[in-house]
Amino acid sequence: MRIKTKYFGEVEITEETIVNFPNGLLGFAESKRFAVLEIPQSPGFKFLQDIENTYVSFMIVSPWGFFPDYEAVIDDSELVSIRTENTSESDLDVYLVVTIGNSFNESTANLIAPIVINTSDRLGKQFVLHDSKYTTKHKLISEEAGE
Amino acid sequence: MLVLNRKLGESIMLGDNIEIRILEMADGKVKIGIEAPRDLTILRKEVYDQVVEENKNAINNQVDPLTVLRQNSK
Repeated sequence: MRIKTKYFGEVEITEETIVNFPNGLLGFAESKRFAVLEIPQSPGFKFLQDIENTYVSFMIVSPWGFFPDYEAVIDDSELVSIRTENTSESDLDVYLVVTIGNSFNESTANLIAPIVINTSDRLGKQFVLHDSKYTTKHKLISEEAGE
Repeated sequence: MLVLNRKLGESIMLGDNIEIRILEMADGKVKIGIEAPRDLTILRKEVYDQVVEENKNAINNQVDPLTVLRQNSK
């Protein structure tokens, strides 16, 4: 099927690209069907594109390239909403929503509200970590890194 | 907004599946117990508001994200 994307114009996608978010994302309860789009030359980064609303397109990133010690502790009782009987740990992909700033150095990731995608059943949900030291804005490039 | 008065130990039902119970009251704080289906997201409002705001910031960027991403020369 063809979809209109925010950053890549019209794109042809297959059913396997589509992930269902039964609860949408927080603040975006109506956005229930997303396409996960690769971003050329930017490994780890993708767009989560609402297939029914072109404007709603979230940049997401795999956490550990920028936050090697990141831990998303989510109770099994909460994960039940996107797991089925046959889901194994390796079927679950974790992503952080990225807020791009005026430069890469000013861009941040939301560590307290990760997105988990069940890749085998094509289900997704945004979870909020409880009692967490994380916030909604962590710089992708830490100033203290000194690298 | 529906406003109800409850005493310590009393509860409120939301539909058939959600119960909200007043467990303790002291020092201007109320301890509230919530029984709800596991797929219902329950959050302190401040946290909910922060996440919603950041989700909105994430899609309302003024700059082209692809241009900014290219600055990452890793």
